[in-house]
Amino acid sequence: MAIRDLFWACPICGREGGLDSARRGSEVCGGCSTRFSRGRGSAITAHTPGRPPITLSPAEWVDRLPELDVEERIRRAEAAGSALLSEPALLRMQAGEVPVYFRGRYLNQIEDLGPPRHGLLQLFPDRVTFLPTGAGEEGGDAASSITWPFGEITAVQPSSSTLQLNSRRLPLASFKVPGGSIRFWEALLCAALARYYLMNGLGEIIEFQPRIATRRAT
Amino acid sequence: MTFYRFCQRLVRTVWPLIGPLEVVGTEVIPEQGPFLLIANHQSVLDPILIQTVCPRPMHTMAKSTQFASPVVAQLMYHLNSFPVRRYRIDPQAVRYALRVLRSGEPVGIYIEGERTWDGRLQPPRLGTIRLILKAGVPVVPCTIQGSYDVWPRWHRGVRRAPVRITFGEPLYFPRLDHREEREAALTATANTLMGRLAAPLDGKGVTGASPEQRQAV
Repeated sequence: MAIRDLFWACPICGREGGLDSARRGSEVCGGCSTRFSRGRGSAITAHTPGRPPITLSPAEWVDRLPELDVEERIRRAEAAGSALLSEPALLRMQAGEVPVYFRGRYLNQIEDLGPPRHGLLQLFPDRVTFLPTGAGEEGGDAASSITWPFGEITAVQPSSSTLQLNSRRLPLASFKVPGGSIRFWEALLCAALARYYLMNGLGEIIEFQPRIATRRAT
Repeated sequence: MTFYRFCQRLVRTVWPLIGPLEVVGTEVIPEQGPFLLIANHQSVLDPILIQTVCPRPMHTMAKSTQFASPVVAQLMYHLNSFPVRRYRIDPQAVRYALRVLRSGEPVGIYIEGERTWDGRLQPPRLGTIRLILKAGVPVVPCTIQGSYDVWPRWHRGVRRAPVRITFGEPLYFPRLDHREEREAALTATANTLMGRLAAPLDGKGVTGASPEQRQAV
């Protein structure tokens, strides 16, 4: 993982779309050219051209990120006829579950994930879709897109550098967005799900893991 | 157990290269009988460090994805870890934890369910609070500070930084056999426990929704 997983937007200029990798583990904003690098301990230092460097704790930087206004994002996306968020991703679907034992003692089942598939992950106001690379193209992967309607999603769980989606109809899905921020995907998806539940009278979401739990909206 | 003790010695030997490790309150850990050790989660290093300094060998709940690699899985088994599937309600993980406690051994759980992104304490997973109320064993709050500075979630490298592990006085919550009783006690239990975990963290308290806001109705 990288600083861009923590900063889904540039905390200096507010530009979204992820920071770009630069030399020696640092990352650069394509908008204001600020270079972010890890300082002492967990501190992060921002080097903006022509300005003195700023060093803050990750929590202080996170507090400077722009507000995640899901309503405004949905308005803009609907006006443009586009997705809320769209990025190349790797998808692994659960192929089954494997029992695990230690010294003859049954511990639990663990998920057995299938091979990774490349494609485009898209978030809409009412669903998540994954379009495998080459889907629908002549000579490409014949598989069509996979859709997770919000009403069928049962859990949203970040795990290291992946985002896991569980649903009623489909097996567990595990996504990686190599060029983006998995934290941003989680935050935006959870905000969009919360809005969807409220708008459809399904209640207020209070937990996203281990399953989406709601309470009646008051 | 030999491998477990070997790993403890190895970490104690190697860790000074990374930074000073201060441990406070090991004397409050029950010398015998079951207990739940409830810790915050700052870094991937936390289980290694806490299991190294905890005087009693402990079983720990770990995310199921860590058992996907056969090599890592073997290491996890020998360090008394058992998997939990976090993307669904996992009754087997709860059953296993209760079985270990019934056999008189301690179980460690990271109550936030995942590592912190920004260093701040996150809200508790309510499933862990339900397990505490179901088990009715002493609860030892364990706060780890500084491991985030050594290896935060968003970075690949390890840096030198001091780490402090504080074991708090055990908390005694009643065993509640009825679901309704457990649900009614959820908020108060979560607040007490998270307050004790947050106390040594220099004001870096719980972020996000409070347990009251998150309690299911």
